[in-house]
Amino acid sequence: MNSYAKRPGPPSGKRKKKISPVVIPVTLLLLLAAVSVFFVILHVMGKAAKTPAGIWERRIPLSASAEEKASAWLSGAKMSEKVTGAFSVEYEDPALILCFREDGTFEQYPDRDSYEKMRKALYGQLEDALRNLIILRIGAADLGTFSKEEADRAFEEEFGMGIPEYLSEYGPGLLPSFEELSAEYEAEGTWRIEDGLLIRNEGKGEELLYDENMLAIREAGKKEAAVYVRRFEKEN
Amino acid sequence: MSDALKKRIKKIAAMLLSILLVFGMIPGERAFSATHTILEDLPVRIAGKDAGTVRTIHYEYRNNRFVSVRDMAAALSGTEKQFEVSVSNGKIDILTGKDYRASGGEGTPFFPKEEAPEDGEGEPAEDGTAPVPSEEPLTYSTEKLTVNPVTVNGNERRYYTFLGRNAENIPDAFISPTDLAMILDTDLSIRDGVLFCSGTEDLHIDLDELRREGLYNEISSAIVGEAESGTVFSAYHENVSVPCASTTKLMTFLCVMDAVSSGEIGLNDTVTFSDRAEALSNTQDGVIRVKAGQTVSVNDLIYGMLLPSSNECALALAEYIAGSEEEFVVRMNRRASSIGMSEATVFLNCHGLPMYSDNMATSKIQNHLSAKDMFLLSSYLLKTYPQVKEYTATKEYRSEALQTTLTNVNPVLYNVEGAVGLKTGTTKASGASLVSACEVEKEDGVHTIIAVEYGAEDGSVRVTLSELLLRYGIRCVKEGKVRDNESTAKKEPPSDPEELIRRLIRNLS
Repeated sequence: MNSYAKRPGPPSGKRKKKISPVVIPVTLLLLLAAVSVFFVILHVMGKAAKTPAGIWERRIPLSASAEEKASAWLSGAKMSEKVTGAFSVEYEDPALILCFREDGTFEQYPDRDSYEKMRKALYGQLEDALRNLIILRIGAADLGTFSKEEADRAFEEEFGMGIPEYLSEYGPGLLPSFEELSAEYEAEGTWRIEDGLLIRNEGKGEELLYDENMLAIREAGKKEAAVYVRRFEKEN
Repeated sequence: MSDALKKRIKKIAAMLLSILLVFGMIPGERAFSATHTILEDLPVRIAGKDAGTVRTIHYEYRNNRFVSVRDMAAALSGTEKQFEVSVSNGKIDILTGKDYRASGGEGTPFFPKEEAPEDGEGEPAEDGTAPVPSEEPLTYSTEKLTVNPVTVNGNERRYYTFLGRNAENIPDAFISPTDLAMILDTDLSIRDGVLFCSGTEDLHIDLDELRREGLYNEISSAIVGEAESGTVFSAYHENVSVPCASTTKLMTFLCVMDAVSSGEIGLNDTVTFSDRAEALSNTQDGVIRVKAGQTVSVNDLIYGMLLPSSNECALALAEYIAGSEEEFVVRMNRRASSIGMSEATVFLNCHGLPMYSDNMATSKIQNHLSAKDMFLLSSYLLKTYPQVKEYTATKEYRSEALQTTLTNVNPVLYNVEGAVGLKTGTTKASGASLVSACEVEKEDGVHTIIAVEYGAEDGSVRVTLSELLLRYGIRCVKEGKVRDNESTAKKEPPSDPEELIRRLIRNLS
């Protein structure tokens, strides 16, 4: 048999296509579903931009006053002007976390990790400055040129402790303790938006502006707003 | 002129000369050149009982009292604090613990009751001092206030006294009650115009109480403490920068000993006085007359500098070591910083004399430091060069090269047992100042008390106050008020960074 046997084809001349009666409704349904999904997605995305829910953070400004205190403490010593100029901002202030939850609750607290990091860097600077000052003064007293290690050793021999320990126990108080910071900044409760104002714990409304990445809250009666940046994805 | 006449004249002349010589050997009446107008018959109570009155002179000011030693001896007779006293040939001899044998006139008041003024006519003051008579105030004359030889139990002491005579024309002396209390080691106090003494209790010095009563009011600054531990028992304006006069020479000595210990110079080196030193010795500030070109050993110069406080000896040492005084002063200031003396300390010369600044509107300038800085310097000196005591505790030193016997002018050396120095200082600006030290032996070793006083009005106040400070320090040491250097000091470093660094440098030096 010929492989090219043809099946009986349609009769010559055009044959009219017949559309199934279910196509149109199905197509419409599919279209509707797609549009619905689209709108759902749109709704969800739109909803994310319309509430401040999420985790935000800002910096608690402590470094400026801390450095001032460190300089003031050292300035009581002769030749200190030669070392206090070395203070520089090489660290961040500790973070304050503000979390708005979807369930209408919020929580605010200082971040311990960033606080400890800042404290370590700040006292490290003071330690270097004090050590350098000791080396300078020893030289000025014609007692020779001391290396950092020699200065540390002489300090420990005389006072029974190293410079870091001395500063920790007897040095100036440059920062509030973490406990003091917590006592000042910790807060929690409920939140909602009403007429564009943020209402926390059913208190006075606070002006609120935010977008995906930034949030600004100005408490009633205050001139300046506290500005936060988004820290993590929103919390569920 | 005939031979006979000549012989007669010679004979008469020889006789006259002999008469003059004989009379010259007879001790005549000493000059009574001090006249006192504020006199008092001070009532005395011994062990709670009336014991008569003591003739009392208020010297120049009311309450600046000097009491009759004979009257006091008579009042304390028969008590545990009794003492024998004799006053003769300008010398006062006191023997503690011995009963007094009256010579006559003891206890005779200035104002006998039968001669009390009539009512309305010069009424006696409420405190018993002299009334103001309408025409002739009572006066009483003595010799001038000066350091008369006083021996206590055979030991020479230096106290300011008036020598005079009592009502029976018996030689008498007047002394400050505070000095007498220290001599007798007894509690004497004056309250409401009455002198109290228990007759049994030892002297108890409470500087806090005395301070509240104004002890420090007439001085600039003071400090007393223990050198070994640095414990300060009492201080007054101790950080104030004051003129330090010849107490400067302690820093000069330190720099000299630095040069000796480093081998720069030797104690037996021969030093030649310069023209500048000769010129200084010829001024009113000169202490020992020296000539340019005259030679003397470093050792003798040190004695000259520290005993009679010779400025020319200090200058000679400075020039010998550094080439010039100016260069030596640089060393002094650098050394001051190295041992931790504060910015209150500034040395301009090596001897402590005032000088004038080199500018248009010239002003008198002097070496300055604080009492605390001097306490620090003295403690450091005694620890680093304890041989300083060999010089400063010496009362007399014969220097053949200087052709004179050098006498120590520090009065505390004579008055306080265990005193080892250190240095007096006197200028108009600094007042009569004194850095003194004494050693106290305890079971745990020797403790050195240092007392620093700046700004006393005169030598009398200087010696009395310094002795009070030292005796208070001795009491504190005996009562164990010394800080434990090993544990306490190391456990509590200063919280002030300047103190911290100074202490570190001090111990590295």
